[in-house]
Amino acid sequence: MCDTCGCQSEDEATYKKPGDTNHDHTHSHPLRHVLDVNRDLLHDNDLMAERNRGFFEARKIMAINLVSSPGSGKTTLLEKTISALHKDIRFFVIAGDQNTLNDATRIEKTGTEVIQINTGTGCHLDAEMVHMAIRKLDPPRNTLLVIENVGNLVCPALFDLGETKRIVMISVTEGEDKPVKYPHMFKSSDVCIVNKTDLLPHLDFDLAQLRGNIKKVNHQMKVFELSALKGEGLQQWLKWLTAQKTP
Amino acid sequence: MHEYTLAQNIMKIITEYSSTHNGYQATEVVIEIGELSGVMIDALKAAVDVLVKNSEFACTEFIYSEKKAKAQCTQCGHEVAVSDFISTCSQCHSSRLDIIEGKELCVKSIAFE
Repeated sequence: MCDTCGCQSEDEATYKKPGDTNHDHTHSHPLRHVLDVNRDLLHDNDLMAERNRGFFEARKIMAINLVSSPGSGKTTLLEKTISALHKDIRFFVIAGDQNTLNDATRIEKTGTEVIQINTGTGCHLDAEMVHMAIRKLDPPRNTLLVIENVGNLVCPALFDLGETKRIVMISVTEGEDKPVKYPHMFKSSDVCIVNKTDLLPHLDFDLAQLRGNIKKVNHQMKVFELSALKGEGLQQWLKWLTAQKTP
Repeated sequence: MHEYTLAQNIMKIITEYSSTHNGYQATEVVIEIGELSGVMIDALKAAVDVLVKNSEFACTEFIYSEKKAKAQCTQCGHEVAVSDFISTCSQCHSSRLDIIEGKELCVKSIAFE
């Protein structure tokens, strides 16, 4: 068998007339040949994300990928959301952090099944990690899975996890220009939650400017302004989430 | 930091293609990076350099080709060159643009000798 073109491999039929030589074509393989590969660098992740998405669709699970910078209030929003809706919606949570079980411990106190993924030095969750986690968690039909990503507005933007909706969170202590500073995350998200609005009276923060910056980057973004801790504005978010979950 | 993960994926792809080209060496790999792909070319280069060192691809040349971004205006349909996510349409000045090119991130070609 020719190592280069693979002709006459052992498991293939060959067709010859009497007098034919071993090879029915010459072996003048070019010295240099260029192969068009066109393989996406995120190909494996995207395939796994589609597999996760298929799993969620088959079980009618709404999966949310919750992303933000560290400290914007993802876990607090989750705690408040779960306590408000747990009678109507069954929640499951995957919490991602570089280290510690702190977030999982907080979520578990709400009575919700949770798995913590510690990425070690990793700066984002990927579709494979989520796949492993959902195999362990095994959320049943008609439930809501929240994937609380590693606090980071850069890397997680590139990694599709198979989620139904990507929700980016920002707190008013972070500056009005965050959407334009980290456009990839804001462009790839469906919903933006502006948190800690109870602190507005104490800050020099221009909410209208933030709204403008969000729309500049993503004109389709749905925006909720709320204080997860104090509860103001929370009702609109809960109403929207419930409507999304109910077909 | 995601550039390191992407560099590992580049290694995986060229290793896979090389395994079907016995007797040939991958001499040139072209990597296409869209202007709005979210990847810093220098960081990707640095990560690839670390991974190829002492590997079978130590002598392979890596070419990083940046692809310019293009968007289509959802209001008037005009196609416009953009370099960020906050550009406006040059014809109707709408900010409602959809990126149609410039998010690519792929191993475009591999040359074997």
